[in-house]
Formats: sequence, C-alpha cells, structure tokens
Amino acid sequence: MALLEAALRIPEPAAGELRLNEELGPKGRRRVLIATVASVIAIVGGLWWVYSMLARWRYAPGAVAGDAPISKGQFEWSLWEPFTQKLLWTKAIWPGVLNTVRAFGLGLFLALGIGIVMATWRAGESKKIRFAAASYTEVFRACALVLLIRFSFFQLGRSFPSWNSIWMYAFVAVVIGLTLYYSTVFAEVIRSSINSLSVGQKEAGLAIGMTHNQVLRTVILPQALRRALPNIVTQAASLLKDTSIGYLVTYPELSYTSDIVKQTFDNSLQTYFVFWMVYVFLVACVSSIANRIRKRQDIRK
Amino acid sequence: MRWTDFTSDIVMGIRNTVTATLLGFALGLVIGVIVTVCRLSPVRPLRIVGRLYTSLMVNSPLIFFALFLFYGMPKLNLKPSSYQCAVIALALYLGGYIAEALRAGVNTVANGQAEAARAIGLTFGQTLQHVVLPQAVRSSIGPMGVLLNASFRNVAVAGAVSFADVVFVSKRISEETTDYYPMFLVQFAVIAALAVMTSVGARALDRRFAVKR
Repeated sequence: MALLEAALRIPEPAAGELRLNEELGPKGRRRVLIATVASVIAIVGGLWWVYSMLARWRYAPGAVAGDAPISKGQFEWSLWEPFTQKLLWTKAIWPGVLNTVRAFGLGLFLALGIGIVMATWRAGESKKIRFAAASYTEVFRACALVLLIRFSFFQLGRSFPSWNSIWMYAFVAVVIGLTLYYSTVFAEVIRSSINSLSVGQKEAGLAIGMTHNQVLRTVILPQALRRALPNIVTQAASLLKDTSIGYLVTYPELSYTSDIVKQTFDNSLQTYFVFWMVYVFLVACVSSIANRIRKRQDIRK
Repeated sequence: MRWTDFTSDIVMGIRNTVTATLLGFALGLVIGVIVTVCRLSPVRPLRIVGRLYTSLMVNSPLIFFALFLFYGMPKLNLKPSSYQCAVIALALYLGGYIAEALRAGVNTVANGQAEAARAIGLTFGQTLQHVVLPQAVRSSIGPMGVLLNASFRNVAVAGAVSFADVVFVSKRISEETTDYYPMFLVQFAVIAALAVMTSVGARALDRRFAVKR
C-alpha cells in the first residue's frame, strides 16, 4: 500500500519548471492507478521480449533437428567471461580510457584557452582584432569535427613524415580537431555570457579610470566566466563524447579498443554493452558536475 | 582519373547525408515527443523510463550506436544496412536531445496556462495536446534548428560503418585519385552550405512561429 502511495505521489516541480499535475482527486487517482499498472505491465513485457530475443538459441540456416546451435543465446557465460579477467581491464580497457581522457584533457585545456582569448578579442576595442576573432569562430564552427580531424591526420602525415608512431599522428590530429572546433563553441558560450552582463559593469570600470582592456580582464571576464561555467562544463561533456571520433583515424581510445576486444572474443553485443557503460559513466561524471554547479548558482541568485 | 570524374558519386553522398539526417531527425522528433510526454506524465514508471532514456542517450557518443547496430545486431540475425544504421543511430541519439529541448520549451510555458487548462476540466493528455505542447514546440524551434544543423555534420561518424555520406565518399575518391585537397574543399563547402541553409531556415521558422510574450 505504501508502494502504491509512493507511485501515485506527484513530485513537487523544481524551480522554473512547469507545474503540470497537482494533487489528484478520487477519479484522477483511479485513472493514474490504472495507467501505472498498465505501464508496469508494458515495461516488464518489453524487457521480457528483449530478454527472450537475446537468450534465444540460434541455428545455422538449413539446420535440421539435432544440429548444434551456432549460438546458445547472448547470456551464455563464455561470452561474458572475458570481462571477468583482470588482464582485459588492465591491458585493453584501461589504456583505452587513458587515451580518451588524454585527448579530452589536452583538447579541453587548449580549446578553453583559445576560446577565452577569442571571446575577449571579440569584445575588444579594435575593429581588426574583432573581425579576426569573429571569422575564426564562424569558419571553424561551420566545420564538421570529423572533417577537421581527418584533415589534420592527413596533413600531419604529409608535413611530418618522420614521426615514428601512428599513435602520435592520430593523437595530435584528434587534439587539433577538438581544439579548433570546441574553441569556437567555448568562445560562443563565453561571448553570450559577456553580452548578458549589464552595461553598467563596463561603464563603472571606465568611470573609475580603467582602460578598456583592464575592464575586460578584471571586471567583465571573471563574472562572465562564472556565469558561463555550467554551459562550459556541459560542452566539456560533449567534447569527451566526441573523442570517440578518433575511431575514424585509428586513435586507440575506447571505441577503437572496443573494436579490438569484440574481434578477439567474438562477442560484439557484450563488448558494446560493457564499453557503453564505461562511456556513460565517464560522461555522466562530467555532466553531473555541470548540474551541481547549476544548482549551486541557482541557490546563490 | 580526376576527382571531377566522380561528381555523380559526390552527389550520391550529399543525397545520403541529407536524406539520412532528415529521416533520423523526423524519427528522433517522434521519439523525443514520446519521451517528453513520459517525463511529464503523472504516471511514475513512465517518468522513470523517460528520465533513464534521456540520460543514457545524452551521455553516450553517437558513433557507438552506429557500431552497435552494425556489428552487434547481426548476432540477433538482424542485418541492418549502413544507411539504416545511420538513420536509427541518429534517431535514438537525437531522441534524447530533442526530449531535452522540448522539456526546456515546456518550462517556458506559463504556469497559468496549465492551471487554466485544469480549471476548465481538461485531462492531462488534453492539456498537453491542446495547450502545452503546441507552445513548447514553437519555443523550441531555435534549439531544434541547432540540433538539426549539428546532425548534418554528426551523421558523418556513421562512416565508421561505411555509410556512404559525403565525407566517406570524398575519402574514397581522394584515395582513388590522390586529389586530396580539392576533395577536402568539396566536403567543407557542402557541410558549410548545409549549415548555413539550416540555420537560416530555422531562424525564419523561429521568427514566424515564436510565441510572442
């Protein structure tokens, strides 16, 4: 009964959310109760269907009774067993995670640096510098990340034929691609938060005799960065996801590692499931930081 | 052989990029609306499913869905083509993002609207259908334009499962003819043109349909 009460309780909407439902009357309670039971049945049924699809034994086409199946379902222990071995985690998955995090870390650092510079230039006084920053942002924002990474990989191979590992080419190409693309993303995020500050801030700075650059550096930028922080972290999570494009230039990050693992053990569904969970965990770590910052700033406002 | 001998292939690549993206977006819109309704509904299990779906989709990379569909599904005796993989992967992925955009749109609707709807006795479904969703969709046109715009570029990651979009086709042609630079220029031009067209289109739609407040 307590469970039913909990199922029927309508949660209080968070600040800024639309209140669509309120305490239910007797008729509404009955209706929601029926819908709850029906949806539980539908969800369990759906899960059961997926389970039976996965667990079904499969036979080669034209097999007759008594033939051995080609697969005894996807829950066969031998398909999952590789993931209980320590060596697979230390020698394959962990290096994959490290490569993903490396590209993410360096890419984020460079992109954020260039992004801040571009945003400040765009808010600056000189027309020429403003134009340069604007064209940089507009050009690279219109590029596909896939294209940038592919092009850097190709151009690096052509310009520096003597590097001795393909890892190096792939790593540098991924970092260049991520940096170019995400610096424009960060620049736009910061620019919009610069624009959201009140003009009074700038005028007050100028009035006490600061130069335009000083105002930007010491008054505008700190406030703008603080305001942009949640969005920056959200974009950082998406940068982390986009390191997976390194797959296309054989950069051995998580997706590429999953390819090797699945070829070794011939268990693609299981491999993808495990790697998917690793990805979700990594990205969720970053995006939960964004949510936490957002909440804290909401409280302070 | 010059790269100009392959124009028909490039056109095919562009066609694939455009149709797969639009199809994926349309399917994603359907998924997104369903997930949004689930997340808003008074029925708790549906809310949980909706929340789980968005957080899973928003936190995983697109290329992974394409790989999963292309290399994983054959284990279940389903063999989707690379085109189907690209469309389905994009739809699943966009479903989560569109749901987020729509929910932000829903939150721009004033509380009084929902209250008024309840006051005249509309049920949850009727409130959503006639009052909330029409306004929510209209005010999320901008973010959805951004999503569509990004999808034209993101669909290229399905090249990992040899989906013949403009980027994949260009790579093949440039390897065949060693005309690397012209092909990179072509890719850039196509992608930039698509980006400009979608953002201009979305802005026009936004201006036409935005809820005036």
